[in-house]
Amino acid sequence: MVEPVVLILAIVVALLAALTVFSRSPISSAFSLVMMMVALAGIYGVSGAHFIAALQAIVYAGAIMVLFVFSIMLLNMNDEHNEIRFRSWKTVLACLGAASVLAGLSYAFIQWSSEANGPTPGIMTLEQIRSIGGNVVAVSGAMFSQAYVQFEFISLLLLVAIASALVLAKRKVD
Amino acid sequence: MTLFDYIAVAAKILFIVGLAFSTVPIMVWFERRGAAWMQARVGPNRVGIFGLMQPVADVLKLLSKEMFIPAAASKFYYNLAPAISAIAPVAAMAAIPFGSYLIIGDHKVNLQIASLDIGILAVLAFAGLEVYPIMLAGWASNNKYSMLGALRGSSQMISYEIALGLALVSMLLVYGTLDLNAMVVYQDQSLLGFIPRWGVFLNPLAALIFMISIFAETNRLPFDLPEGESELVAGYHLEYGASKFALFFFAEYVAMLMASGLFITIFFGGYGLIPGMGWVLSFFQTSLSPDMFQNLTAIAQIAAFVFKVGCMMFFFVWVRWTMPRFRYDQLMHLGWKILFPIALVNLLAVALIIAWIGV
Repeated sequence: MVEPVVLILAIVVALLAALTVFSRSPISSAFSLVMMMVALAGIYGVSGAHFIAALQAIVYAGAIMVLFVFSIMLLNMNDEHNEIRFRSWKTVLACLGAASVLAGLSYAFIQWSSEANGPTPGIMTLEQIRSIGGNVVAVSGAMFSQAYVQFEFISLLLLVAIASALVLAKRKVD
Repeated sequence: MTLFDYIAVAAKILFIVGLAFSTVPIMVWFERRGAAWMQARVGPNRVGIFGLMQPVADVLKLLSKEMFIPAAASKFYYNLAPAISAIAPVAAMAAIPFGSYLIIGDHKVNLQIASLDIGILAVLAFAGLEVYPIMLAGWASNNKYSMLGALRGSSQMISYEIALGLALVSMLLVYGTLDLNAMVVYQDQSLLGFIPRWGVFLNPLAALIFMISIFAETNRLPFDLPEGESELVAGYHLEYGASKFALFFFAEYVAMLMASGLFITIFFGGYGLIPGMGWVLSFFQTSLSPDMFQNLTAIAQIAAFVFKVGCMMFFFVWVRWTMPRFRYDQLMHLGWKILFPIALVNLLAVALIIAWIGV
């Protein structure tokens, strides 16, 4: 059963997501996305996943979206060019993508609600997590032992992305 | 949750919000009188004895003025910005412990609104939202000075968050926990037998970097470039008046309070007793029941917390009226080319030492 607080937050998330897509000014679009991230962190927090909630708020609302809003403010986009043109192929493609994601999610939800035992359990039960000392220990233990190679590869990937952004942003490379 | 729990949580929230609301007028008074004192002038001394009623007069003035919205501003975000700026630091204070626990009847009441095992991340999450009101206020006011102030403020906060984060990570390595309460318990020992095992003695470099960074994060002098009066009139809150300006003003001091609370929790033993207080308390140990002694200790811890935060707030004011403002390129140079590498090397050194000792 869904808790009422989660339900309210879910409605807020849905409204803010719609506002992100449909608002005219890029700033209000970006800011709706920020508020959506915070509300999503609220859902995680209410569900007891405090670690994920804090990461959601720090990484998305506190870091990534700050850069988004910052660059939008610097670029000073004009509002006239942001009308949604329904005939353009980009809009059609975006609608198709959104529809397929929605279909996938609905399929997963129907599967989940039709299963008698509820969702498939994860690799650890709540008691196991509590016994080894909380979510942070569980996640960091898995990240730095089982998924160590993947973790290093991802940091390498981020480094490459930063270097390429630098090359693109710099006019002349000596 | 029983009724008792609800009342306990409500009382703790009241304490923290009350602390925030009572700190602001004291700090406003002290900022003005302290400035006058450091600059060898008189300062406000007409309203009440020593001008103590001056903050009341200021607040009455700000609240009773006309609420003005500039015609070119985007109204929704213009009104939203001061609200967020006041909410974020107050929410961040929810995870900072201000005492160990009280025993009321057979209930144990933790003196912390949200006892989270990821406490420090929760504080950082809310503190990270403090950059939005500055951006929004600058953008929504539709004024070029406001906009410049907002750009300065946000880039400064992003830049110094990195040095602050790295200094913090080195302390997290030392404590081995994200729980602020556990950090305070860790620091509640003595080091070499005579000094408290506070973070500042274990890792003074991280403490210095953290302190410089919180000055930049709270936009206080010498880093108050977002509102640099000589260049930007008043920066991001230029177009704000009356009670909305009062909210920004309130937010600045609450952000200072929150930053001070976080700083002393990580580096100065948090609510841990100040050396000497434990000695005084030990006289009462035999005459009181264990529960009452714990309650007395908790009250002493709250007093220690408030005293330490007060010292830090005094330091904020002291620095403000001592240091001149930086130039913007100097600020960025300090943040990226000096503090960031030092914090990185410090982190590496701490990691190596801990790996060597094998804590």
